[in-house]
Amino acid sequence: MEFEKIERYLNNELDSQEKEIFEKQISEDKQLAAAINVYKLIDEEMQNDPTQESGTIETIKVLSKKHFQQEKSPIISINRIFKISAVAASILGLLFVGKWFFAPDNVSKEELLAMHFSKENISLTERGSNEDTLYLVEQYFNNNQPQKVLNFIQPYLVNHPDAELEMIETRAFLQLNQSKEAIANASVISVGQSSFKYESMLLMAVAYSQLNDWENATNTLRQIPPTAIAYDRAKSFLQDIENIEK
Amino acid sequence: MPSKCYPPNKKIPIILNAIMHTDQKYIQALVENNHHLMEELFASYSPGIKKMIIKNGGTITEAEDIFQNALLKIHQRALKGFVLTCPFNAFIYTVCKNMWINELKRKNNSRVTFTDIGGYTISDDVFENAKQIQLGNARRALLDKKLEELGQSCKELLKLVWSGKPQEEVAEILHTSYGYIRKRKSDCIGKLTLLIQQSPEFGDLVWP
Repeated sequence: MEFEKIERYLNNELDSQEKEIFEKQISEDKQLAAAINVYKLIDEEMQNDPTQESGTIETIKVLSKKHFQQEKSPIISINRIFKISAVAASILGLLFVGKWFFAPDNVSKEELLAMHFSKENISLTERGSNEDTLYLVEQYFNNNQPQKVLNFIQPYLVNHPDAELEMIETRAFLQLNQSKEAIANASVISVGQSSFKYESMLLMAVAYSQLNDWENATNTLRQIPPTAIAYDRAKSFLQDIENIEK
Repeated sequence: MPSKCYPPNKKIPIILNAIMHTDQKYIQALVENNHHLMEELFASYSPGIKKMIIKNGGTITEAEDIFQNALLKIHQRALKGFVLTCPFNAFIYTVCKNMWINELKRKNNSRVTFTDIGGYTISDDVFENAKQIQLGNARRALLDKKLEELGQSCKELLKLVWSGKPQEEVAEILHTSYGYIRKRKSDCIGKLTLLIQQSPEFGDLVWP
């Protein structure tokens, strides 16, 4: 096939006589016409390759993180031996969720809980003498075995009280639908000055939601002040509770 | 209430003034990297996609992947002159829904039955707009794949030719003549044309 002629034809470089003959040929030869179509599409498609234009792609990635990323919990030290690593503290994240601007139909309870209570993996990286306990807690938590998390974390907490581990315990209770135990745990954390104060209130609201106690869920969320990191999530949670199919 | 869609038209110059939907502003925002409108796009439409994916067996991370990839695909088509003739909400919903159904099929997840979330009228026009994105990107994927089968000299020449530089400039860079570049370019695209026409996927991609 005369691809150079196709190129010259598409560039309008054939003289009028050549062009007339070539167009007649195209009209009579379906295979040639099809090849010209594909040739033209290839050339147009590959010009100014979009992959070279990265500004929009970067913006999409940044906005995607902003609108979908689960916020990470603040990090605390358990003690000198058991620090929870900053990088590994991708735990206990609740979802940052925007308003349901889009398709504002009712939200089911299951959807509400999926949006506002999701499990992220934890990593307890620096361990000391009780390395095995924390390691097992991490493994069981990450492998979605909340009962085993409780089996190990509860005796450990007796001698090593710590707000972050109590938050993990609370989450395990929520996973097991032991909502009252979760509320009791979260209440203790929320009355103190822990860095998990408002995170625990979000968990408390999840527990009340599990119990269909929308009034207490709402009241709990309303106590989270605008200055708290958890405020946006509380606001979004409240919005979804308003749309819940009660 | 969903707004009326106009019939699709493949001839973009005619579409431009006649039947372009007002939501084309979001397509244009992707072309121009308009942060303000893209923020509006995310705030308005990402919650619905999260909801749809979660309702159909997915996770928030999967919802993020689907929404982000859908926008990247739309962006790629937008750079090639894609014109929206339907409301953006039903359009993005349909694009993401198709991608999610494909993902479920890929995972062989026979247990999930897709449940639509309410509020959208998926007219033929919406379907046609979504199909343009899907086909355009499938064609592009085939091009990229077949391009890899060309020899190194062809790949390098085409990269230069498609970089946006005039062919006269490309000839100067390579210390050769315009005529030679045109000949080499046509040989290389010719090879690519044949590779594509001979590929099994060719027939399914509805070449315009």
